[in-house]
Amino acid sequence: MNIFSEIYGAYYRIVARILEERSVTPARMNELIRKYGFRDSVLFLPPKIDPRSGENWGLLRSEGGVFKAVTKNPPPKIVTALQKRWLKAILADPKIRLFMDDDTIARLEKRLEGVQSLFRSEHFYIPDRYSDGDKYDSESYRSVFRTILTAAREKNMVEVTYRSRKGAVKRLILLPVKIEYSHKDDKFRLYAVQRRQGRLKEGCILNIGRIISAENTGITEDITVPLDNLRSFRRCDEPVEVHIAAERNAMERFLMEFASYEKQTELDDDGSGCTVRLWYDRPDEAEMLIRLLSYGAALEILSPPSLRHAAAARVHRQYRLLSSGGKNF
Amino acid sequence: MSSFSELIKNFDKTRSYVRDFFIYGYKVRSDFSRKSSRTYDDEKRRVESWLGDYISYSTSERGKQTCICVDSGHIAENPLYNAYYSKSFTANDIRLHFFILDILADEYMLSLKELYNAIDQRFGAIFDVQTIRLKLKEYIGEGLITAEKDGRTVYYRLSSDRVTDFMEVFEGLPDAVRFFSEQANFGIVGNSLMRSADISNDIFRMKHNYIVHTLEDILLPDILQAIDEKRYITVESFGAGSSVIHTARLVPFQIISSVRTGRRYLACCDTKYKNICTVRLGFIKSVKVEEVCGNFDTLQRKYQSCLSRCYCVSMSRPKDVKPLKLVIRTDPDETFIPERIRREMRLSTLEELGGGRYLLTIDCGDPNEAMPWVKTFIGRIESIEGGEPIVINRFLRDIKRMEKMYGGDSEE
Repeated sequence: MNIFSEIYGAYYRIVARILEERSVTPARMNELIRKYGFRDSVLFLPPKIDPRSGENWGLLRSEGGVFKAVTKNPPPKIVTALQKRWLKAILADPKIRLFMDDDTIARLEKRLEGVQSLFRSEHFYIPDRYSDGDKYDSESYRSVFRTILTAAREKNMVEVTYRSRKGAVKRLILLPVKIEYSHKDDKFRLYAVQRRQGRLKEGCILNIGRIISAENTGITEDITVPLDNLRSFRRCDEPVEVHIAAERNAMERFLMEFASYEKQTELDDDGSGCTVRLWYDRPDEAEMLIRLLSYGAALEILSPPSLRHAAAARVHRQYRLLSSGGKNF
Repeated sequence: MSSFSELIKNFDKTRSYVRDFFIYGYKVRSDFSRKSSRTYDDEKRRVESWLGDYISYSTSERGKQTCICVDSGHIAENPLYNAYYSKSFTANDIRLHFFILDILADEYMLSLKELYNAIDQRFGAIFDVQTIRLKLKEYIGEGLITAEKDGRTVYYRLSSDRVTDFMEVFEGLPDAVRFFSEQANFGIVGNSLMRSADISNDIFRMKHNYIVHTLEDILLPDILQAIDEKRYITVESFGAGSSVIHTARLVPFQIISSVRTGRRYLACCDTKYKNICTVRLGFIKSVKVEEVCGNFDTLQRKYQSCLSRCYCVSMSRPKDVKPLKLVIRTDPDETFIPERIRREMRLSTLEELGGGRYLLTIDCGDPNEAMPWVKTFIGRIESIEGGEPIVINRFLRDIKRMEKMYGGDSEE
């Protein structure tokens, strides 16, 4: 039982697709290779499948200009032992109840009886996850989550009651588009399009934990809203550019910590540091600022000017605070 | 000269290239000194093929840089999973795979001899009986086939657990698989299930998601097995930026995964130095499970004891370190600051002093580990004391250096 096995591989999957269709033209074969393969698979795989090729695997035969499967049945798709072990593991996660009801979970557990879990929560320790994560054991939270998920699937509008950070309660009519989970916050957020004055207008982001109630209106809005459209107005106008000094392992620490961002890096000619440009979403600017400050003097924010000035203001305030304290500064 | 293939036999070598392209992004050809230039060219070409849309290039004075450029919050599926879908195989492997599955899809169960004959009759293909036997044995392990004995004859049949059946019968499972396949730890397995079920993730996005962790998942089955069975492991690892391989015999306890720094560690006992320590998972090259460790429980208790004072991963610290004490100053309308502290703090207490001032006390074995978080409060720290002098002095020096860096008071 191995994760890195050819039975999960792209080539096996492509061949299974072709055999499933029973008969393909050479053009269709190449189309399937392009769709399910890697970028260059179309250079390497056709001679292995094309029955006219001397190096083919003998899984198709050529007949009247088309390639026909030598097999009689569509290849069966089986849940492997590894996949069953993984399913068993996710059943132990409290978040599973956001997707499945207790009865379904019990039936799946029964089906997986005797299967050893691939991992258990005790195998992992996360020291720094925030302590106010969403309440997955709350029936009302689960109900809100499922209503939103179903509405997103069916492209239905939902009417939600939402408590803002400042405590104000609002009623909104929304089309749910995407659901985002933060590993650090252990919270879900809803990306939605809001209806105002009868028209779908602006994008909004709501913490699902702050939604008090949600009701599927049953009104369908058959529009496709790419997430990028919702987020593009939130994307930073220009990337933040920082210089990290090669001290206290800061470069390695920084590049790992910010690995989840789109970035460009360049090493200094003398190896004394590197310059990094990071693209971020504007709502995350405050978080970005404090994360950059956490590198202390090993990191300098070069641009944009607004972020550099915000950092400078905090540093000056800090300098004055410690200077006025006197004794050890 | 062997020809290039986009498939690979060994994941280890590729893992380190993908990691370097993804994490660093500034490395040029000459920085990959571990192997020959040809190896670099082949690995780069493979990565380009697997991750085409996410590869970007730039030119510096040092040469052409290759970078895997992904904002993990904006993608539906982890593109690095593609590396796992590139395992090489032989022509016999793939032929036998589809031949055996095809025949068993028709028959309730067959013996080895019957299967051998059926392959010959249906496909006109002759395989060595031993080759078929080994493939069947492998597929029993993978769960594709089950075997049962009738007298002295073993009969083989397909597993009845079909992907479509699971996805249809268990309502909500497709969305659960979509979500958990992008979670840390073995998300690749969920993704393989999604691809088998021909579904894709059209709803969920992940924030603060370190997709590179998937490359380390290849090590986890052996490590978790050793933890469960209380066994030693032999680990080969290298340091950051170093190609020198170290071998250590360890007793593994847990995987420590930081959601803020993106680093994952193996918490363990190093049998040579007899200390509780951590090893970066990203720097581990290979893991070998060894014999049972007789005093596993004792060592694990020692680890738990270390963990009780551990801020993140630093285990072996003196016990007499003083708590780090900070006074944090907030403005009247900044109630979100104490809220944030309470949400994020650990091994700490927060006491309201009045007038928007709060005393934050961090009592951990290694105060230095808390300092990156402490520095997120730059601009609000009225005083800082306790901990270790070296840590406090470094912080104060940092503030002085930053004051110079950002141009004195003139910019405010």
